[in-house]
Amino acid sequence: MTAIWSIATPVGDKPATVPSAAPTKRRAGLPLLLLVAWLVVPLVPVVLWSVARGWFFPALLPAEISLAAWARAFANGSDVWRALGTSVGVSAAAAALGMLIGVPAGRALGMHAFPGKRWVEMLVLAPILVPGLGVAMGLHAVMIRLGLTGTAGGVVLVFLVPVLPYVVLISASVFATHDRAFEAQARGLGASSWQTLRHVTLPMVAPGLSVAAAFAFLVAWSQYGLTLLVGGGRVITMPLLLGQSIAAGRNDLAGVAAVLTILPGLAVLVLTSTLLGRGGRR
Amino acid sequence: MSTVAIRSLTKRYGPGGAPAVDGFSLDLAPGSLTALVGPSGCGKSTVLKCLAGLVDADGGDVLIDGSSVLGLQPERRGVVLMGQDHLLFPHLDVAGNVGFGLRMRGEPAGNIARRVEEMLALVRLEGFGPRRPHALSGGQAQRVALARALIVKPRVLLLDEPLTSLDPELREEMRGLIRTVQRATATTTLFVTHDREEAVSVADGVALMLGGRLVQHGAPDAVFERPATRAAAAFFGASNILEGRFEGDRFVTAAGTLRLAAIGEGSATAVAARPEALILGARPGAENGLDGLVRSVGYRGTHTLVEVEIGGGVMLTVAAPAASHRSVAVGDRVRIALPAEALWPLSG
Repeated sequence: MTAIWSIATPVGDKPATVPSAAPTKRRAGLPLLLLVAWLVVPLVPVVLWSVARGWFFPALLPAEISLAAWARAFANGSDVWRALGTSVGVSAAAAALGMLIGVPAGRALGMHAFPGKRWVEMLVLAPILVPGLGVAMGLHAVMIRLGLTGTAGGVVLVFLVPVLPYVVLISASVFATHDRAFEAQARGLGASSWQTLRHVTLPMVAPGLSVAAAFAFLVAWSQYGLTLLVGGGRVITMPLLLGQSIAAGRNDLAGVAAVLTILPGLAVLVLTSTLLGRGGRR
Repeated sequence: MSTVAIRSLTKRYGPGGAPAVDGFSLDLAPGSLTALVGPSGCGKSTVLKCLAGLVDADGGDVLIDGSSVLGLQPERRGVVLMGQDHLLFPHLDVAGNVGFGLRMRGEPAGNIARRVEEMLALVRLEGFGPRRPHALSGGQAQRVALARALIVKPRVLLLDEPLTSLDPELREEMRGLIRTVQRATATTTLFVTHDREEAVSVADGVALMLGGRLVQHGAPDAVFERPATRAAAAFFGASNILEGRFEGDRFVTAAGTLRLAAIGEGSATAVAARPEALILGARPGAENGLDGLVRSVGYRGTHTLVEVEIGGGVMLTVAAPAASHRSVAVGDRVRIALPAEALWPLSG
């Protein structure tokens, strides 16, 4: 799972087929630029929308720049504040619960070999691979029975479906690369098994597990369909607010909501690359 | 300074498999550095793992200062194992790594800081405390690992091929450092290596292990020059083996009769001689001279290896002075001398 962060490197490092005296740096430059553009350019109109007033076709840029939508979004008791609160709350709860269940499972998958392990790994991946709505419809029926529809608790529970695969697979890779010889070394130096866990194992796997937690939070944060279905319109998260703004034709509010929905993702990107950079060194 | 007594230690991996360690016994004198040497797969690392508590022995016992440690948790044995991989904790700096064992014991921070400085000075890494492990060279990391192991004043230090991953020059230097530090701390040490030169140059005593058993244990020169068995002779490079039988103090071989300085037991049926102890181009009438035909000449920089076929189809290898490769050629008839003190009777 963690390998996705290294995608950017091979793109830049692969030398062009024609050997020439041109510096490798130049050749790496263009693909990297395209990659960055691919990621950044779609954000530009979103940001512009959030500050635009009177932006009609065929004008290339808005007629007037205004912070009115931002002011409205952050007024006391606004929808945005509520939705942000709800989003942070349910995402954090889903991440925490996902870690509680997913880390021990990932540890078992990463450290032990057992018959049928590949099938278990495939099953763990299944919720990401099969269309989520199909699973959600089935779960919805169960939630109705349990009286959990329309509640934040129900939303948190249903978020575990997409969250757990990420947590399990990232933890599995963290524990698979964790060298238990460090623990044996700590024991030899006089550390008890508890001290070894506290002072050696946990600090060593912490960067990797933080990445798992960040992913869990982010996956929960971006859910739309599951929230709509199980939340029944009573649990309004940022993606739902964004959807409502678009449906209402309020491009300015939609722009604000979009920026606020994207920001945590960028924050997690920076955080994980820092953590992985630190964890990758020995 | 602790004594270690390994008694008929046996370890089998998997049921029904051949034992990796097969009734192995060895005594370590307090404060000594003993090299446990043998080819890879002979069971020497398993002995260390049994001592450190990383694997459970199937039989026998390990006594440290007279009491058995096999039933103790690894952290209660006072045994620290340091391997080829330095295993410095990546989340701690050098001082944190060196002080780890003392911190686990709950010693006061001031004490730990002082002892860490002392140990870093001992391994000649003053001022390295704040560095991160990934910023160290291989040799520096091994020195930090050594300091971390010795700061807890272990009863026994186990070194499992600690120098194998280092460059040759660095290996030489580290070997000297380990010797110095081991003497300074008088820590009873068992040093595992597959390198016979390393074994005889670093240790007070050398124990040879073959096929899970102790074959020979003695002073470095004793095991090198007076191997106990054919296998020991082969391992330590005493590659010239002459078959025959004793008649009094004479040893009769197909190629001729030799006089030995050492009197062999009646059972001895072979004598061994190191290539560097033989003399190429002996004077006529020299003691234990044998005539032969040069079969190959190999220049080795510091010496020249000359293979000589003597009577009876027996081949002897002579490590002659390096310049010999200019004066000796394949097909030459030469006379080689086997000095009486260079011949050692083999019992098995």
